Amino acid sequence: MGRKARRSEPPKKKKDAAPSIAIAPSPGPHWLRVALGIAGALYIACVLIEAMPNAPRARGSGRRLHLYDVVPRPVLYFTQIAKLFPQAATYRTEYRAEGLPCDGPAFELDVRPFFPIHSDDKESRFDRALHFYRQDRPTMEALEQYIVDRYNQSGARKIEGIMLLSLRVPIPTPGIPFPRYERAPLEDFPKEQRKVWYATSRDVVDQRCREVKP
Amino acid sequence: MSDHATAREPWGFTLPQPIERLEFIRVFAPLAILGFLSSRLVHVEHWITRVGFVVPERLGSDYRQPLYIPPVPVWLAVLVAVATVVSGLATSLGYRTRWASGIFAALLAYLALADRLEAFTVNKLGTVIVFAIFVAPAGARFSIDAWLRAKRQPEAPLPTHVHWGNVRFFQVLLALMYLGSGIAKASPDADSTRSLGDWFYPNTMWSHLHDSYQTPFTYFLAASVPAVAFNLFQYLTLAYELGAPIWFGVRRLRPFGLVFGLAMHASIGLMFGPVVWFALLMMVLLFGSFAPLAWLTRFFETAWAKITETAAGSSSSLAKAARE
Repeated sequence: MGRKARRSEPPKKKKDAAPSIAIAPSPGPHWLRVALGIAGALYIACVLIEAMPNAPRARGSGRRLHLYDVVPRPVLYFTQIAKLFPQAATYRTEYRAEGLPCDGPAFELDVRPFFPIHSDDKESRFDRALHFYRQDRPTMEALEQYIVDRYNQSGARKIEGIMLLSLRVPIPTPGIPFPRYERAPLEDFPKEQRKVWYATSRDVVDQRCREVKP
Repeated sequence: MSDHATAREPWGFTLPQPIERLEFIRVFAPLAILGFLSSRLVHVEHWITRVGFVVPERLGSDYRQPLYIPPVPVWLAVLVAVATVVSGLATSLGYRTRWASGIFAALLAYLALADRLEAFTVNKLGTVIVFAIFVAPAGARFSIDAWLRAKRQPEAPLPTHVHWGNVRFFQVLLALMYLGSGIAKASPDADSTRSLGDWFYPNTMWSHLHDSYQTPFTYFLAASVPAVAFNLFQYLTLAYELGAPIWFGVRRLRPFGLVFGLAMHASIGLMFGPVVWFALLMMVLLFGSFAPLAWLTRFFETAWAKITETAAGSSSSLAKAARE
């Protein structure tokens, strides 16, 4: 195949182009290619619409029109790819856990060994679970169960409940020297930077303690 | 291609496209996706089995769990991980490309849907890219399939182009994905008191440099470059994303769109730790879609000549060894 001839993009003249190009046939019948073309165009349109911050309102009812009303959620899921860092970060957010023992005060748990995928950054499953589900009680209860089980299998001191919290650390002001990011123990953060999202109630902890030590 | 068709298509949008564009994406996009998945696949038992934490089934419609897929046994998870790597590498090498890319796309879709916690832009977008490779004539050139076919039928002509949709899909997706990202940045959030999106106000980009994504390079830049430089880059990024259809739609502006996009993603890859795989995937799409054809052709012809020479050399030495 002539190298020179193939450089044209797109081929402009029949005289030059017609003998020089060989088109690889696309798989499938014509109707399938048309259907795939339409599906591709709709996919791209959905990517664009999903990136819009506010869904448009319907005339008359004023109800927000959402794509999930017409597109199945499992399909729509793959279109949610374009909304990247849309807002300023108001805080640096970190998620932490504390263990609630039968006796004594709560203490910080290092849960990183129980979530080995990206354990040291915010792509950790622990961080992601709290990011998405921190206000969802069934998921937080499942997370509690998981952490308590794993910790009690490995830790010297048993726990019967946990507290899940976020740290909201202020963003440094530009122009003022600041330290490099590193994970610091929970006790280094003042109370006003902590927000508890889930905690096993003291009654439940006490009940579990009575069951363990009758 | 006829003159008639060209006259009907003054912009050439539906003219056949060089096969190099499709093959570049076929070779490199699976590698970026596998790079992203690698840190998850080595702990696959903590990902899609009950050894790790799994989100319980949610009742009703939930954007976080569009489809509940229960955890699988560890042996099956290991099989999924191995099949993902093998099919991804086979797609990249172009070995049984149709089967490999179909299996790879199906596994990527499963992994993205099975667990929201490990679903990011790379594996959601990656699923769609690999599906697009699956339905295109990918692997027709610069692949093991093409090499084997050429050995069987040396006289058969090698394809030089593909139908327009097989390349235009990636090009349009990229331009409109940037546009969508720009619109999201430029628009105020429903809860915001601001009249414009945060990216119109200073220090928005700066605010993202301080969490666990921070790399030594990020810290060096944040500590040594004046904030005004970050603001300049922030506004340039916003203009780039909002203007993407223009940068890529107007032929003369395309080199600018390509160079700025590559530089932007290189910066993202260097500054946001684990986001490097997303940066690489976007750079692959950008380069494959919009790089000057001469660069792609030179790259493939040089690499292909070396690979086929090596393959011919090793097969002749094998034959010689067998004779001896």
